[in-house]
Amino acid sequence: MTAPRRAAVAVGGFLLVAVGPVAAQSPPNAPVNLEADVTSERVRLTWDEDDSGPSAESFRVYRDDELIGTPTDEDHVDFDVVEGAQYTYEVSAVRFLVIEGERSDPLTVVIPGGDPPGRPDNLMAESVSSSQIDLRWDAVRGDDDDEPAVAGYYIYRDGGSVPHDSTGGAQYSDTGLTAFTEYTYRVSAVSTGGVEGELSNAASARTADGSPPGAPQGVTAEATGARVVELAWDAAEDPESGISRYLVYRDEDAAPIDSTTATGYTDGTAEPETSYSYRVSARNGVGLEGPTSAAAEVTTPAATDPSPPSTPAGFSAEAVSPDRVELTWSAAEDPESGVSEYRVYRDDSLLGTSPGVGYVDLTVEPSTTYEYEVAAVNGDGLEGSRASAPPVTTPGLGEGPADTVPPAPPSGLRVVSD
Amino acid sequence: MPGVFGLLLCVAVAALAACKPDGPTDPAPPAAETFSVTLQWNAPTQDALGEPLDDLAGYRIHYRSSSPANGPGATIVEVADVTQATVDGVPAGQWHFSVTAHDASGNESTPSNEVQVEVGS
Repeated sequence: MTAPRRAAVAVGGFLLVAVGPVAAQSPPNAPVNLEADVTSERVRLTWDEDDSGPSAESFRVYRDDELIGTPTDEDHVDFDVVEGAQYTYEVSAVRFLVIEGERSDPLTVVIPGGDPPGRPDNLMAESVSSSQIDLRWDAVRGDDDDEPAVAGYYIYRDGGSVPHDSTGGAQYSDTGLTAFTEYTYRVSAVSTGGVEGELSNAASARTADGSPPGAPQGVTAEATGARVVELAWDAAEDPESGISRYLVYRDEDAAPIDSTTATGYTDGTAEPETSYSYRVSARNGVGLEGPTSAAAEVTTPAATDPSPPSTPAGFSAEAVSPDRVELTWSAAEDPESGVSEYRVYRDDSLLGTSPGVGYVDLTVEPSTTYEYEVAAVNGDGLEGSRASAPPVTTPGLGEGPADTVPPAPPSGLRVVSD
Repeated sequence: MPGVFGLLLCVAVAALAACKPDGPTDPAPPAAETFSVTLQWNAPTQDALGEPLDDLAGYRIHYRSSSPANGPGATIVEVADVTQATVDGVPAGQWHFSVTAHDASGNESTPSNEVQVEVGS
């Protein structure tokens, strides 16, 4: 009640004393140091008059461009506030009732409280590198009358109860992460009133394994026959995703001649009296290949048995189940150096070797047709010509070989009683 | 006194099933007399090609008033992998019985030998 009374006194004084042309008077400067003390029930504004200009008798307080008060002192309390709402205040100084100066710098405040915002949906996490995961989610609109405006989002990581970070938009990049590690995220929206909404779904991603394994060490090559070179090396290591395979390179070929999960390899395709250079690389669990090893040099000896072994006879392939094909053949002969092993081919690529007359292929798929061949290798590593079997088709899952033969009839039917 | 109360209750809540006075239940219809026939047989140990039989699943008993027992209109009784079964509900008269075996793939054998039974004589 004091402020209006004082204003009335000021108005009366002005009418009696100042009859001059008020329009010619220069306006006061804009007030400075506008500050607000905000609770959920009111906003208390304070400011300072700029003493370097003409003095003011009163002030005008604006909220969102609307005049809400004309105090004579340098403070004003706005009780007409709503929780969660956002208001922008400005204050100007007035001389002689009508000469209004410039407005102060605007001050925007948010009334704390109000309803929580909605739940962010469809949170997705995507690994983009070995140290970064990107998050995306559906923005909480917050533009309905029922929902408060959204100021931003909290990012929670790995179930923590304290937000890991906050962001304004509906996306976030988490950087500086550990390679090949899984992280789980949730996000929540925060209203302009500072009220946090419900947590989103959880989304997980694993950072990439960014470092390839090192080169295998200790590679050795030994010619164990005129056409056979045996390689061996020490296991390589990949602390993140492990080693999945080793790739074997020969000479300057860009493509590996083969790959293996073992720490050794037998190259049965060498020629007699030839020098070879072998290198080996490791590939890790996510497919990254490391550098190749130092080269291991070897020269094969002269052939001692130039005549190949005979072709295995009676070669047959039988699909006995959806995941099993059994191969049988009769022994081949090589009078000079004997038969050292048999090589089994499937669809024209080497499947494996067998010391004896039989091989079981457990790497077949159901309902698939394969063509097998087998060749004998003599004691000097020379391979004879291949025997082939008719194509064999594995049964589908859940089928054995079809049973169409009925049982024999029961016999000796007789009446026991009655 | 209960009778009076019951009558009053009937007047009060007419159409309640509980109010129906006790009386004799409906007589059951006269049942035709039937008999049981117990049969035994020998299980097959081979399939029709003479290979060992390892997936025998069960049997079907067929009976009919004339031969063959598994002819048109035969009564069929499914039984498990057993070698003795009792067929109930057989009316009096002359009946021809045979049994077939079937395997897990649903292949059914030819009938066994046939037996003729005079039931209810």
